[in-house]
Amino acid sequence: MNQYAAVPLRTDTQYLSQLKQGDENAWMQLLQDWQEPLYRYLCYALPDDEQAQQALGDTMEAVIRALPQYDGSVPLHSFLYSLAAQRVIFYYRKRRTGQYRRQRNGSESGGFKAVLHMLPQRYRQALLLRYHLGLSVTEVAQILGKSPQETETLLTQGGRQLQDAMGSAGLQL
Amino acid sequence: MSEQFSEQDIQNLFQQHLPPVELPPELASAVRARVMDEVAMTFKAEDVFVQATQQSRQPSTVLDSRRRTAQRSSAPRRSFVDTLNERFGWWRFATGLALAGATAAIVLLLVLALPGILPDSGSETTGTTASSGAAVLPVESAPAEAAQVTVEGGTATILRAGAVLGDIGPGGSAELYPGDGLVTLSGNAVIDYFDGQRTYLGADSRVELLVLTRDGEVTNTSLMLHFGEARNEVNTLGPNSRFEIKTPVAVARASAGSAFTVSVPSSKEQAQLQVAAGAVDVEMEGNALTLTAGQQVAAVPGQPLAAQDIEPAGGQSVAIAPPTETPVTEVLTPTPVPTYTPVPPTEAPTEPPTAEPVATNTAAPTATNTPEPTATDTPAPTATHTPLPTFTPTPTDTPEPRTVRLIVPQNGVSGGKEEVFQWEPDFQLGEDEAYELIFWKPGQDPLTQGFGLALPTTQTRLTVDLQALDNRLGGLLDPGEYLWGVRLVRKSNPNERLEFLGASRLFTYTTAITDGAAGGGSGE
Repeated sequence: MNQYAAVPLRTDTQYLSQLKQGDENAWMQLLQDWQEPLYRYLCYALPDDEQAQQALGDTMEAVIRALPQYDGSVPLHSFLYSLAAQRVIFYYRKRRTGQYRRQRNGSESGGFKAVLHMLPQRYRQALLLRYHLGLSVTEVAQILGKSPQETETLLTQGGRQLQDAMGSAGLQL
Repeated sequence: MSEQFSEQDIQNLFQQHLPPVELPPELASAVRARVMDEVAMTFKAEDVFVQATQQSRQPSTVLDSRRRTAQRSSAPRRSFVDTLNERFGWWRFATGLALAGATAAIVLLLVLALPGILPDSGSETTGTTASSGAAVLPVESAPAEAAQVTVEGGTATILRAGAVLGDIGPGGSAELYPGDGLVTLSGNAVIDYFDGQRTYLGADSRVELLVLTRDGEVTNTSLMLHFGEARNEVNTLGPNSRFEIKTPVAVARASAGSAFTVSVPSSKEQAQLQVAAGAVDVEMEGNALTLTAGQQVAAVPGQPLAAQDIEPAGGQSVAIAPPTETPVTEVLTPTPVPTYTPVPPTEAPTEPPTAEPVATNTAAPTATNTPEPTATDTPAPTATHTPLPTFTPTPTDTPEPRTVRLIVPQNGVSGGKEEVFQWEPDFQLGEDEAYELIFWKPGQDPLTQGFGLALPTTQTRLTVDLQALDNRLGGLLDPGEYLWGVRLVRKSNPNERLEFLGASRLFTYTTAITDGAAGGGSGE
């Protein structure tokens, strides 16, 4: 259920300071712990594996750049997923509207994943974080940079849109 | 039509239909290599400074402020001020004086009372003890070395401490310090390191000078090629010296008399290396290979390194032959004729010790900008100490400081898309003057380290698409806190920064909030 639960949560200050000092072992550990969960998330948040692979590298680079500002006040996984979520937003920003509209009209029969990709990315991201990764609403809010209320709204509306999209794709519960 | 999905329904859907995805091993190792390289580049560059101090066995010397400034400003992406704060904050702040006094007293006692038990151990210490026995702050072993960049066509941009330092036009030259980045767009650039060591950088390339040190005859040169093409000539390389070109996936180490080309595609997923002369060691993921003249290798993570002969005749020699020689001496003369002078930020490490992240920076930029050369810190501006001949503080005829009042956005606002920036000057723009809207990080000097959000303008209101800018600037504009303000530049030469116009406000650039749901969070 909780996809990241299997990852040991190394948020102690010593680990954090090792990362901030560029300790190679700490970074290797971070990669070992988080590459796969982040990739899994990116695979479903982005339209194809190629994009997910690119985004994974970009996310990890962003982690390096952002880490000096990370003070541990939010959990490490929220920090990491927020950077991954930004890569997803960047991707869709670059491609803007055309992409998912085309998909929406075109691929009606690709199963649940295709249906998921018919949703605007902000709904998809919120739903993935909440229901695929099993994060709390508060954590999803932290990651997406929204208030918990906004996140609740996103989740509710996203669920509704998912239901509609499944209906029009002929998928049942 | 049907009942609305419950939370449990949605959760079941995700569990059933989205199985775990496995990370391909090749991808894992490629990302690992990329990250570890980046980590080395980002975090270790600062250690170069520390290592240099630790290796020093010279007596304590007073660093001239010029050189120290250069050292500071040569830090990689994150502010070197942050680094100094981390490393030496304890020393600089409240306890600093007391501790210094106590340490000096203890060392003095030891020197006087126990001269015999002060062996030659200074080099292994943290740099707080020098051979003279006096307690000093870390001592640097060698002056900050700078490479010379000369642009042969088009323009190139130097990045320093995460900010655009300036553009170099055709024929212009400037100094590149460890930690500095260099981006060529349409132009080519030549980087001269020590005698007989040179890199020709192709168009659309990005490099970062990681290390450039000299200790007697031993030189150490390390350049990171993020993407693009770097053709290298290493005619001279002393024993124990090193010349290396790093890429996101592999490292190439040259031997004396070698000439080789390294290229990295913009995807950074692999590196190509061709050797025209001499021998070059290539290392990737713990595997190493020595290439000799006429050989090449494609370094692709997850695949073995295998040397291949470069296509017979024709092909390779075109790629590797050095371009028409521009005499090195011309570049190395002490009058670099830069199109801009890389004015190092002066006051960085002595900034006020206040810990608050925001409020302190709203004021005028502390003492940095006082144009008078005066001052107790810097005895007789530049001259004798300065290894950099270009720097002269130009004691201009102190004009009245001109300021602007910032109107929008308000202090502390967040945004990530199109933002309107507006200000109101208290003066009349000169004929050849323009405003430049800038961002800079708290702690940085806006005049020298701020980066422009738009082309200089004579208007006082600008709409900036931050997201588009982010895409264009890459790592320079990342989500986070910035100060914004306005700088006065020369209209005919926007690289000439005339004056920072006083006011600043905090702005948080964020990308997450704005996506589609802007304005209240309800989706469309």
